[in-house]
Amino acid sequence: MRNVFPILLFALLSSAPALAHRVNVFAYVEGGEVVVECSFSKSKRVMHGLIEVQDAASGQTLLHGTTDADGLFRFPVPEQAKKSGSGLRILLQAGEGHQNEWTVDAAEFSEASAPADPPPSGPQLDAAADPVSGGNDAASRTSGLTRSDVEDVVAAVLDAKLAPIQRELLEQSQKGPGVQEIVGGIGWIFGLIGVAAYFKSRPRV
Amino acid sequence: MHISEGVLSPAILGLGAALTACGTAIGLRHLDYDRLMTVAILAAAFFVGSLIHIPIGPASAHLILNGLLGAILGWAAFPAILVALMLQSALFQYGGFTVIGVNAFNMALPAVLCFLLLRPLLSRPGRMRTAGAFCCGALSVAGAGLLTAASLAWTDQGFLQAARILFLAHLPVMAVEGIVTVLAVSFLYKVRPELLLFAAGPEGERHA
Repeated sequence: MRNVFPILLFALLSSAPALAHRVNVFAYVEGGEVVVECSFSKSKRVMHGLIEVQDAASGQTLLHGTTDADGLFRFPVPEQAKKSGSGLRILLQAGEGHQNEWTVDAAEFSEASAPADPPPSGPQLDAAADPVSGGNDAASRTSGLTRSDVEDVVAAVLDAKLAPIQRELLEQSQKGPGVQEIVGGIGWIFGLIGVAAYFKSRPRV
Repeated sequence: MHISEGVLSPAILGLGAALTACGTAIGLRHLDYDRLMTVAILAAAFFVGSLIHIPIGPASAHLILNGLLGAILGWAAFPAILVALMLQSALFQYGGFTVIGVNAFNMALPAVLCFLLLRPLLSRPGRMRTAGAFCCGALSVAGAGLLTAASLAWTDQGFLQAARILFLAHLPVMAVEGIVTVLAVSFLYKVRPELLLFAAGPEGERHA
C-alpha cells in the first residue's frame, strides 16, 4: 500500500489532465504566422493538445501539431490557404472527449500574409517618420519606399497596437458562465417543474 | 465528464439518446406530484454543482453530484440530470447538444444503479446508512467515469487511457461527493424523511 501511493501520485501529476467541461481555442494572425491559444480556463493551458489545421472550405487537412507548455501553437499561414483564399479551421483535441474548433477567416491572413521578419530597417523608418529634416536626400528615399515596405511597417505597428485588444477578445471568449447564466438556468429548472406540476395537478382537482 | 461535440460517432450518439429516452420515460413514470419540487431542487443542485472545482495538483475536476441525485430521487434522477445537462449545454456551452443523450446516460445510469443496489443499506439506520450513502456518492462518480471512458473507446484515445485519466482525476471528487451525499442524506433523514424514497416504506416502494 505504501508503494502504491507515490505511483498514484506520480501518475496523477504526470498526466495532469485538467478535466474541465469545455476547452477553449482561439487563433489570430500575427505577421504571417497563425498563433493558436488553447486553454481549459483562463489559467489552465492545454499542454500537448493535438491541433489539426484544415482548409475551411474543402475540409482537407493542411497540417498537424501539438501545443507547447503554454498552450500555444504557431504555424506559418499555409501557401495552399493563401492561394485558395478560404479560411483555416483549427481543431483542438485535448483528450477525454474535449474538443473545440476555431475558424480563422481568410481575410485575416490575406492582408497580413507578408513575411513576419521585417521589423522595418532603421533608415526607412527615419525617412518615413521625418521626411523634412533630411532634405532632398531623405525625400528621394521616401519616394523610394515601395508599397510592400509601407505595408510591412503598417502591419508591424498594427500588430503591436492590436495585441492588447486580441488579449481582451481572448479573455472574453474564455469567460466562464456568469451570474446571469447561473440564475437564469436555475429559473428555467423551476419554471419547467412548475409547468409539470400544473399538468400533473389537474386530475386531482 | 462532458464529452464535446464532434468527438463521438453517430452510432454512439444515437444509442446514448435512445437509452436516455428510455431512462427518462421510466423516471417520469415513477415521479409523482409530491416529489416534483425535490426533483427541481436537486436538478438545480446538479446544474450548479459542475461549477464547483476541486483543485488537485495541476489537475482539477468539478463536482458531478449524480450520486446525490440517485440516492434521493432514484429513477427520477434521469429526467433531472437530462434537464440540467440541457441547460448547461445551452447556457454554459458545456458538452454539446447532440451529445446530451450520451452524457446524460453516462451520469444518470450509475446513479440509478447505485440507488437500486444500495437501497437495502440506505434504508437501515445508523452506520449502515452512512456507508451506503458514501458508496452511492463515490461509486456513481466512478461509474460515470467508466461509462465516459467506454463511450470514448472507439476514438483515437482508446478506453484504457481515458479510463485511467478519468479515474485518477476523479478520486478526490469521489471522496468529496461521498461525504456530500452522506451529509445530505443524514440531514434529510432527520428533517424531512418523507423526501427520501428508501425511507418512505411501502409507499416509497411502490414508486421506486
